[in-house]
This record gives sequence, C-alpha cells and structure tokens, in this order.
Amino acid sequence: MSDQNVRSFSVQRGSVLDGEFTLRVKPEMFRETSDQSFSEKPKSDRKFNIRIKQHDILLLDALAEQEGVSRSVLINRLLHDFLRDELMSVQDDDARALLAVAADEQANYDDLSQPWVFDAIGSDFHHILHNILEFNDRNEQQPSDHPGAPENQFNSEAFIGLGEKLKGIKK
Amino acid sequence: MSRGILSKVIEEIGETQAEIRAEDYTMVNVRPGEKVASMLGLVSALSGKTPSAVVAEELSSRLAAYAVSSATHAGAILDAAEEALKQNQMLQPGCALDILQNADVFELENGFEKQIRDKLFSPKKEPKRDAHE
Repeated sequence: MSDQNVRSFSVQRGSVLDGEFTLRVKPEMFRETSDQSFSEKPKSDRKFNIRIKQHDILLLDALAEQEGVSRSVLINRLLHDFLRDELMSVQDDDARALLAVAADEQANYDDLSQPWVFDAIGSDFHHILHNILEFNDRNEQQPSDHPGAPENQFNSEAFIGLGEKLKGIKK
Repeated sequence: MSRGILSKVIEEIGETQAEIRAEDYTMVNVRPGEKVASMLGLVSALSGKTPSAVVAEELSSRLAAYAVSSATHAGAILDAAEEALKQNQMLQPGCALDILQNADVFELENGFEKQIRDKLFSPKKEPKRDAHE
C-alpha cells in the first residue's frame, strides 16, 4: 500500500484509547471514474494577452457593470460566440467535427462544461460523430458495407488536409 | 545574408508595440476558461497568428453586435461613449462605439457641430417693430 494512503499519528487525551493511531484508505473501495484519463489531464489554466482598443474596454466595462458580471466573463462570452461561429462556418461536417474533437482533447472540462463537439454537431453527437469521422456521413453505415475501402475513402479533402495539419500541431 | 529568426521576432515585437502606442490599444490579460482557451489555441496554431491577433480583428465588431442585441444596453452604450468622448473627444476608428455610431445606433454631435448648427439654424431675432404700425 502506498504511503499516501496510510497515516499514523499519536493521540494523548488521557483515555484508554491513547496511543498510536493509524488510518488506511482502501483504494479498491473508491468508485472508478469511467474516463479517468480525461480527468487526469492537467488543467491548462491558460492565460492570453489580448490587445483591446481602449474605447472597447470602456464599453466592455459599462456592459459588464450593467449585467453584474466581470469584464473577464463578458470577454469570455464574446470569445466563445466568435469561436463557435468560426467552427460552424466550416462547411464540411467531418472537418468541423475533427476541429471540435481536437480542441476538446486539449481541454480539461468539468462536468458542467459543454464540449465543442456538441456545438459542432448537436446533442445526439456520439452516434453521429462516429459516422461523420468515419464516413463523412451522418447516416448509419457499416464498415462491412465497404470491404477493402482505403483509409479516408469517405472523407473530404478538407478533413484529410486538416488532419495532417493537426498532426503537426500535436507533435 | 538572410535574416535570423530572432531578428524577425524582435522586429515583430517592435511593430506590435508601435501599433499598441499608435492605436491606443491596451493589453488585457484574459483567462478564458478551458473550452475557449483550447479552441483559441487551436485557431491560433492553424492560422499562424497569435491569439491576440486572432481576437483583435474580431472583438470590436462582436462587442458592437452584443451591445445592440438588447435595448437594455442603451445606458451602458451612452456611459461608455460619454467617457470615451471626455477622454479623447473622438471615438477610436473601428472600435465598437464607432461601429455602433456608423450603424446609426446612436448619433453624436460634437461641440463644433453644435456651434455651426446654432449659427445656421437658430431662429433669427425679429426686428423691432415701430409702435405706430
């Protein structure tokens, strides 16, 4: 058992229970999370220095004050809407889904966050995501329907090119 | 001799700094959260632009669109415009307030324009009439 799970200490309270106490945590009793690797990703806590026009700061602050939020929250909201529109402007479903997946892989979400793939392809995304990434088609298809099909047979040129570029970024 | 990587980087830093001074930009430190940070980082990497450059081109128009999305923002627009004009007498070209003004969301009359208007359109004094008329 690792030392992290054991703790010993002395208690002297003038009772029969006085002496060395030992606590042991039983790791096997903890419920495994289904996506442990996901939760183990370090939180990026990234900060960005953004150039903002001074008069835009005045408007940001006035709007933030009126709505009772911080300037940072308002900027975050604007950035989210901007990036979502950028994502949704990608015409090819598979390329858009690939971008969303690549961004989600870089993020360490909490349970309340909605990943980019939801924005990219809607609520019933798991099923559709597979079909789009594999077949560039939202409809159900089986690999057995296409025996001997080469990799990326069904994907758009944008998807293939973007995939190559993302490989370079991840290295 | 070809220019080195460092000299290019330093030149870009100088250009950015000059731009900041010239156009009255302020550098704001933003911690946007996991979702936005991941996509912003990705867009930045794909476009070859810094996150700041990606955002700077878009923020003013986004802010203007947000401001005009609700009539309840009218007071905030007036507050910000008043403060901006007190500081600089003019709105920064391309800023959200400038975009809103150009879109006729609000109109602005500066002191000079008011003087001109007063001179040209103020009611002329009636000439004194003779009491016997």
